[in-house]
Amino acid sequence: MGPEDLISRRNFLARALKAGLTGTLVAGGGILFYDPDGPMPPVVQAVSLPDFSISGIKKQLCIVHGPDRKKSLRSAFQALGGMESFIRPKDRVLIKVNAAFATPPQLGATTHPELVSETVRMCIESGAAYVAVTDNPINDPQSCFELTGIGPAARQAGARVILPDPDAFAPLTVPNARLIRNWPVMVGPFEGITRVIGMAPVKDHHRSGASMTLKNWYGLLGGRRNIFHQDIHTIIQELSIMIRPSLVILDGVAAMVQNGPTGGSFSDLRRTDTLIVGTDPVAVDAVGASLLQRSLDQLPFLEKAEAAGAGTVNYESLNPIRITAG
Amino acid sequence: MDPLDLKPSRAVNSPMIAGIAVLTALAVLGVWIGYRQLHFNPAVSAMRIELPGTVPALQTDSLIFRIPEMLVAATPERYDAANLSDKINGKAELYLAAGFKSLTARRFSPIQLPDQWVEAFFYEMRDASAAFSVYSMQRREDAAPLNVTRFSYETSNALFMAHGVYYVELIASDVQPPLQEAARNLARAFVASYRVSEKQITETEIFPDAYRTSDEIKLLSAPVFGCECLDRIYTAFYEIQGDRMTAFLARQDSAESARNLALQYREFLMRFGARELELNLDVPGVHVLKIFDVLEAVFTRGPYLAGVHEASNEDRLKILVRTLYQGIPETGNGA
Repeated sequence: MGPEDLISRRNFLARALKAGLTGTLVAGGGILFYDPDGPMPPVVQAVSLPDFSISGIKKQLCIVHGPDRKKSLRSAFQALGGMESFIRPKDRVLIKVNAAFATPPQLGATTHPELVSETVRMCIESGAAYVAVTDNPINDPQSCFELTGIGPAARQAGARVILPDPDAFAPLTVPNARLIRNWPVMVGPFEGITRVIGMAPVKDHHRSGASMTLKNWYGLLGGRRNIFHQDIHTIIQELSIMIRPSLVILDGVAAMVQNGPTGGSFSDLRRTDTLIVGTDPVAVDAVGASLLQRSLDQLPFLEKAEAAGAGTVNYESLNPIRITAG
Repeated sequence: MDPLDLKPSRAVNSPMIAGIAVLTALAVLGVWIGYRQLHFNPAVSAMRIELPGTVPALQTDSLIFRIPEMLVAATPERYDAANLSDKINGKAELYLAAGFKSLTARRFSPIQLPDQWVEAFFYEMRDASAAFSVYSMQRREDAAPLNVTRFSYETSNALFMAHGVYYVELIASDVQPPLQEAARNLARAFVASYRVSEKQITETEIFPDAYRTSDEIKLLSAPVFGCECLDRIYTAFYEIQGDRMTAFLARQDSAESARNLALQYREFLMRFGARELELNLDVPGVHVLKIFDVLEAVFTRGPYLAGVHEASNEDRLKILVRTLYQGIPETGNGA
């Protein structure tokens, strides 16, 4: 380096100032453009679910005893004034089933396909313009719907089967909720829907004590929803107010009394020969709890859901109709 | 300034200091951005669609063992602790608490029944006792014992076994003899393909046979009997003159650890209103407590913590405590 390469103090200060300004601009730009919320998925129209409960009718509950699901279902709706009391002509109906596992229907881990097909038929007989069946089993939805028999049963009866896809999810916040805040929920299948039916089997559940119609809405959650298992009773409470169904159907014909929610052995099932249909999901699940011989203390989510205004655990207060089906 | 004066000066050092300062600022900025990138709002990361099969290859990759007259009905699915619940939903916590490492699941079909299948679940656990724990906690009461492994049984449509660090479930899609035979063949093929050390779980050998109502022994994870301090405790069921009670047992690292744990459990019971009873029992250091109309006993022998849970009669409790105490080896080396 020759003496001519040396810079003067003035020159150095000018360059240092420029370097400093450049650095400041870069850092300032970074701070300016920093998005504390991170990248968000495209927001679809629905950010909350409408209330699908049927206004103008009092809460109804029917408990049917019998081994035949189809007969029990028909008998229940007959006792409740017919499916047409709940499904009007031109209604667009969404049935949320439990298709969480790719297991055969007789293992009782998923909604029984006979109930799905019969419900779909009855909705169509009542004049429904559209009936769809959906769930969000994270593990290979196609296999879950096919191996459980739910997919073929729904299609044969005239329903559309909606499998989860990324576009169906949108961030949703349940008012006053602690867990479901800006959380991806499968809202796509609800677009244009006027009636929602929840349909689940009675099952033991390792974390919550029981999985019935209230826990069934868990299947609408997307993402890494397993983190909610750490606070399972609160998440079920929040689900109970996230969605207000038109009616729910709880299958207690063969209840999974142990090793739930997966089961696996026929010895995990006990024949309880009961089907419960009602417009109050909390009351329906309270009846289901008795099939599992669980008390309210063992299933805190029931009283939490009642406290949230989702229904009543005192199902006798609804004067349930009790019948036996052929 | 004389341009020929090459001695270090403040003017020459300043660019270096300024450069270091700028680079330091940029490095701090980079670290900060990196930190924020790693701490996304969970709702954002939750939007990612993750498919099974992303877990790195596991030892059970070679599940292509040859099984006569069986078709492989599906490719293997693999799960780790982060995505186990994708496969088994709310049951995942049972495995995670016990020491889960990985799961490989695969469906097989007998050639003569291509529309039916046996779904095999190969759970790799932390150690043999963890595998025994999940095996024992899910044991079906009407199970028929099998001799495929030391811990194995079957029901009308399924076969369950613990084999070294593996817990295996073979679930048939229906109750049919060819499916059950296929499950047995799969179990035998797995055992033949995956040799494990024959190290015994000593606690299962120690429980005395006298008064035991079944061969069912469980290994429970915390909180056992509602006490967080009790973890990985073996239990067995007993009945003496019509009174049912549970014996428990767990080997600790040392005799001192066992004594400390016994005291912790005693204090736990006292906190919930238990009162200590003075019973004439020739078992050194035993604590017998009465709580909510039931009796609890806890004692140690060498490195073993042991006791009786929910007895209803003092005399029968004494019988079981003495029997259990005498069954524990004095050296603490196991059976």
